[in-house]
Amino acid sequence: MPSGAQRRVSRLLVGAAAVAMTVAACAGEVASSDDRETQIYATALDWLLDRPDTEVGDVEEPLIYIEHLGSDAIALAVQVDLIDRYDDVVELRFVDARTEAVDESVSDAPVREGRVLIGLGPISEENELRAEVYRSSSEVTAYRFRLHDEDGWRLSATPTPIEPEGLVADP
Amino acid sequence: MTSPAAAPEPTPQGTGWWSRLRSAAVPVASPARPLLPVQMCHSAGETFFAVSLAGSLFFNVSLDAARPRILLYLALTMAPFAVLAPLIGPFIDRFRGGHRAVLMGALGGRALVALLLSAQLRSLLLYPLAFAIVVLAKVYSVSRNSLVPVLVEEREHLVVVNSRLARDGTAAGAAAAPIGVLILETAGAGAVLVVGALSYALGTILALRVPSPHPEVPASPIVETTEMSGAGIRTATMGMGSLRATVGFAFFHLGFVLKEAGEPVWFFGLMAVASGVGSFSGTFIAPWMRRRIDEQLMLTIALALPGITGVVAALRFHRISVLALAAALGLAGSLARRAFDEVIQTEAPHARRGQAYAGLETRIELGWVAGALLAVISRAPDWVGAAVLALWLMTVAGERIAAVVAAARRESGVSLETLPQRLVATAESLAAVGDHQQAAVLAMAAGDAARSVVGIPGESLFQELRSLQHEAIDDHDEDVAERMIAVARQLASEHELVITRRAEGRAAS
Repeated sequence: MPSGAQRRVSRLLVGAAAVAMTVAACAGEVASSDDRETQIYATALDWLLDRPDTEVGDVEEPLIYIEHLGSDAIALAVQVDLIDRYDDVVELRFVDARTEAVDESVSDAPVREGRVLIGLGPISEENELRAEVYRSSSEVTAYRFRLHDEDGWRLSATPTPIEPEGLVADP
Repeated sequence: MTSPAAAPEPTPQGTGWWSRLRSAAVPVASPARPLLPVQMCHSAGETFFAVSLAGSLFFNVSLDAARPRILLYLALTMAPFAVLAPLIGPFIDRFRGGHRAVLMGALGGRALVALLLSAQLRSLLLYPLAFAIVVLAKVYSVSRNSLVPVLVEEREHLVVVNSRLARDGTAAGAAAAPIGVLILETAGAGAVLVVGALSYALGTILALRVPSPHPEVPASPIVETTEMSGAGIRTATMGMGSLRATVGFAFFHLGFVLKEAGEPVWFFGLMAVASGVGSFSGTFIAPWMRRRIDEQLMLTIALALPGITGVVAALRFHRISVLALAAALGLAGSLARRAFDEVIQTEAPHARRGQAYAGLETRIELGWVAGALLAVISRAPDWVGAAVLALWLMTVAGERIAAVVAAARRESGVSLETLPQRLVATAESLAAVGDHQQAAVLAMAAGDAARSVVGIPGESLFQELRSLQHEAIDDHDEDVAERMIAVARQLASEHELVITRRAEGRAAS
């Protein structure tokens, strides 16, 4: 049976661990804000949301699913910034699994409730990325974006249509 | 408010279902009564908090990205809780009005955090603030569960009061649900949390009406400790903790897999309703069940029930089986709480202090955090998680049944012949918790019992025991008590040897 002193020491250790973790959590908050990534994705999304292939029609609660085409998820802070940025326009919902957005029980595997799934690829060091728009397995379009930083991130040229890869592959 | 000298809890009149239902609705006539509106405000606040999450970031961000943060805050939930919760009991006991301060602190803290969160539902501050609410919820439940036993006048009222608290709380939570959804649709998630904060604030004010616990402490702390660390209470705490761990695991596992499966937000609401219905019906089923079976078996059934539902969910994971699992967990929670209270009532009749309960309740709540951590770390596929849940509960339930069978076998050996050994074992456990005087008396009794067998050798051992007796009781000397136990153990062994030889002789003839 632990003595009173042992209990006090273990409580102190737990308390110290709590303080250390709190400090780590607060530090993570600052380090995670990746402004470049947010700006680049926002520029790509601005362009995509103006296009007819992302139109969600006259629905009461417009919602667009976003899937990352890279191996890791988009950083949480970037997701939160993007959700906040488009809050008045459209609700963004980031998904881990395609089943979250796509109804695979129906032929052609459409996005649930006639909505749209956008795939965003990782951003290269040359500030390039791939983005794909998915409505159903037979309705997928893809674009390559090149951007540059000039008082904020801008498109270097009109995005070029390319062959879809990420969203036509198995999740 | 009812005076402390109020009549005891009315007992059910008649045996029909209507009489039982009416008796269940009889107001609690005890100083614990002012806790009812406090609990109702707390439960309503819980519902508003849960509804507001539908409009939070939780459904918008990817769980893979959020997982490290959820893990971190869950770990943080455990840390301050482990440090703070053991202080709650002594605080309730030591300071006049300490019990009110703890309740008001937990509820007032939740009101404040809910207000802060109402403006941060779409920011990263959602995570620390939501987990702060979870920590305060655990502090509240530990303080409430520690406070009820010290408020009730008659020990047999403990179960009744806890049942009423559960029933009224569930009813208030259910009533708050449609209001919360209406506010969510018309004014947004932030407004729902503001109403939740008001509900917590009202609970804080109402907590002022909770009277002081009984001023007298009828039993010594050592008696309480001995009773509270008894085998029955230990087993029940393990069972209750296992169930809470399952609830924590199921909460996060189902939340993750259902979001991943693209389930709509209303289905999450339906799950909460199923759990509430299970919990509410449990408050009626529990007394019926208790009349037929003992409390430990009731706890085993409470563990097996969601275990069986978990097997079904693992074999066929779909909406119906998930709803059944949520309802089974709610029902099991109610049954287990009733059984746990009865175990305490029966096996620790002298425990009257908050300190005695806070430790148990803390361990139980830490089980919830541990289960939740496992779900977040493992991110198991839907049916695998359900299978793990089922396997865990069935194992715990199976172990309890095996222990009961073993105890029944042992009981066949409970006779005068085994008395010295049993007395020595009790003396050892009393010495282990520091009660050396009682341990010495029991060691002496073990020696007496061993000596009662004619023909036992070891008269010198018995004389040694007797000479140590006065010394041990007068001086409260730990070493003397230990020596007495050692001598009594030797005498008990001699006794056992004689008994065995006699039995062998009888068998041979």
